[in-house]
Amino acid sequence: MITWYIIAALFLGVLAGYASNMMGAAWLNPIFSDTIFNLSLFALLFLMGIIFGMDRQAVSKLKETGFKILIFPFTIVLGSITGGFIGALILGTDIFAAMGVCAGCGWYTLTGPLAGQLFGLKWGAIGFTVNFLRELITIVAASPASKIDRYAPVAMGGATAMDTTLPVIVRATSQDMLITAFTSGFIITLLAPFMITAIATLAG
Amino acid sequence: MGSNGELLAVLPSVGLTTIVLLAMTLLFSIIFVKAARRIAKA
Repeated sequence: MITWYIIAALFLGVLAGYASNMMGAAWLNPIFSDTIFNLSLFALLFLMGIIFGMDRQAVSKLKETGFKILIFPFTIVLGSITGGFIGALILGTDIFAAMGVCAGCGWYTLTGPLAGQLFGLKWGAIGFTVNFLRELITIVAASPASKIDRYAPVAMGGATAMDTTLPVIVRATSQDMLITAFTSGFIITLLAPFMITAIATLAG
Repeated sequence: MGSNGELLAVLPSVGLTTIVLLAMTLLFSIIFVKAARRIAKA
């Protein structure tokens, strides 16, 4: 049921944003996309922190997982790059550009401009849309994906698992996934710019 | 998203490449995480 509410909220948001532009109220965009977006994100993360702090078993669960937690971000980045490689083979397009774009792991504000600089404008646009839609699909499909594998929503979220998709991931899985998702997203956020640049260097 | 004119304008021209890359990225991320879980038994 919650998935339908998420889809409805997203759809209404798209309509509201489009209507705002059509009515000449584009000046509202930075207020919504920066100020209100950031404030609501901080509020969500604060609530997540409270829920984690209230869970008496959270710390012991984290100790049980230990260093294994670090395996996930690296495999997610590797999986994303492999996906780009296979995708490029299917499409018969530039392999390095496709791998670089997919190495963004959902961080569209970085990947769009960086891929544009390194691989050309077309790849900048692809980098932006692939990673933007990755975040969007994670928000909408986290719940059904968690039935495939408990960690699937974390893998889908990539770098966004530390902020925008974190509440959805926790909701779709369980509270003890909070630290795993946050750590994974944080490490991927650190890795993504280096991976994109490294792939571009390999491409020559 | 609806207020981002640049994104809306670029979507039709990069459609197929985006869909294929997105699908492959998500698929292999999940496959790799599943494999890593089996190896680490997490």
